[in-house]
Amino acid sequence: MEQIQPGNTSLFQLNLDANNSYTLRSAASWAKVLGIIGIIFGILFVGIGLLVQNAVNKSPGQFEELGYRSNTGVMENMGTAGMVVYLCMGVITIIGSIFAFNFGGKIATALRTNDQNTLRTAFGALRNYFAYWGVLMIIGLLLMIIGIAAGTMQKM
Amino acid sequence: MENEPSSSLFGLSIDDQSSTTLRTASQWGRVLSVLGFILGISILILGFVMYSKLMVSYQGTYRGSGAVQTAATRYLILCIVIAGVFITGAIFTLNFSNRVAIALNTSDQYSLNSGLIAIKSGIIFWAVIFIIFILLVLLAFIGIAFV
Repeated sequence: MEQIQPGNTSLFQLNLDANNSYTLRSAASWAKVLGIIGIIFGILFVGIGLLVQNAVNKSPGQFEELGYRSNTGVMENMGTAGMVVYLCMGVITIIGSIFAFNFGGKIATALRTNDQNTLRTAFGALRNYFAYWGVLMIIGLLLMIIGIAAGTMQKM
Repeated sequence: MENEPSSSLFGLSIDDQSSTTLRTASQWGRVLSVLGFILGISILILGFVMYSKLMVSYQGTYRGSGAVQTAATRYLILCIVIAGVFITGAIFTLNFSNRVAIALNTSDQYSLNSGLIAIKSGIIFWAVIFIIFILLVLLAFIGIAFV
């Protein structure tokens, strides 16, 4: 158990003192940066997905030019599947970044206006951010386990 | 705003509602950090397994063994870097979660301060990683354009 130092506790509850405010302000600025960069990253993902689909759809013609047989339907399906994966990754990143941006924006507003309600919603945004990535990571790990299990079953 | 019953005389405070929200955030943070550790370690194990399989299957073969070995080593390095990123991010999140939980349980202002510093460091870490990734993607695009 931790010993509570007399100087460390307020009379009734925890406060956001000058030191805390400075840390939170800095965290808010970086959270905004993280949000904006995440949104750019998500848009890049979507762009790459479209490029991949375009490139894969064009490739059967290139194969035929080289004298190889190609299956256009399979290539188109692969291109669409690739685009869907990149699109999903882009949307996931953008939504997560919006939570981070929300947290940053609300913390900054709360500190500027000294508004307790905005501080509450900012902590709510932080909770949503963690919950969102937590749930996604659980889904990702489950998919990874299913993939490994399916690969092992196929080999047997 | 000054008349609000939940705001303290000197500024913002962690009231009951904020405390509940922060507690849930710290619990989700702990879940996220544990999953981050698991994912990081899984990637590391996967990297080593793939590396050893590739090295063993191409050992002694004449054609292309050098290229495969180089590719396997690069793959292993990539896995180590990705695992390192996930594990470092998880450490920051775990620090935040533990310290905020202690602060809320014991009303310890010092733990709250260090918890907030941990979340700031975590956010800075991920922002820098994202910036590096975007720069790498842009470099790749420039490389493709020149080729």
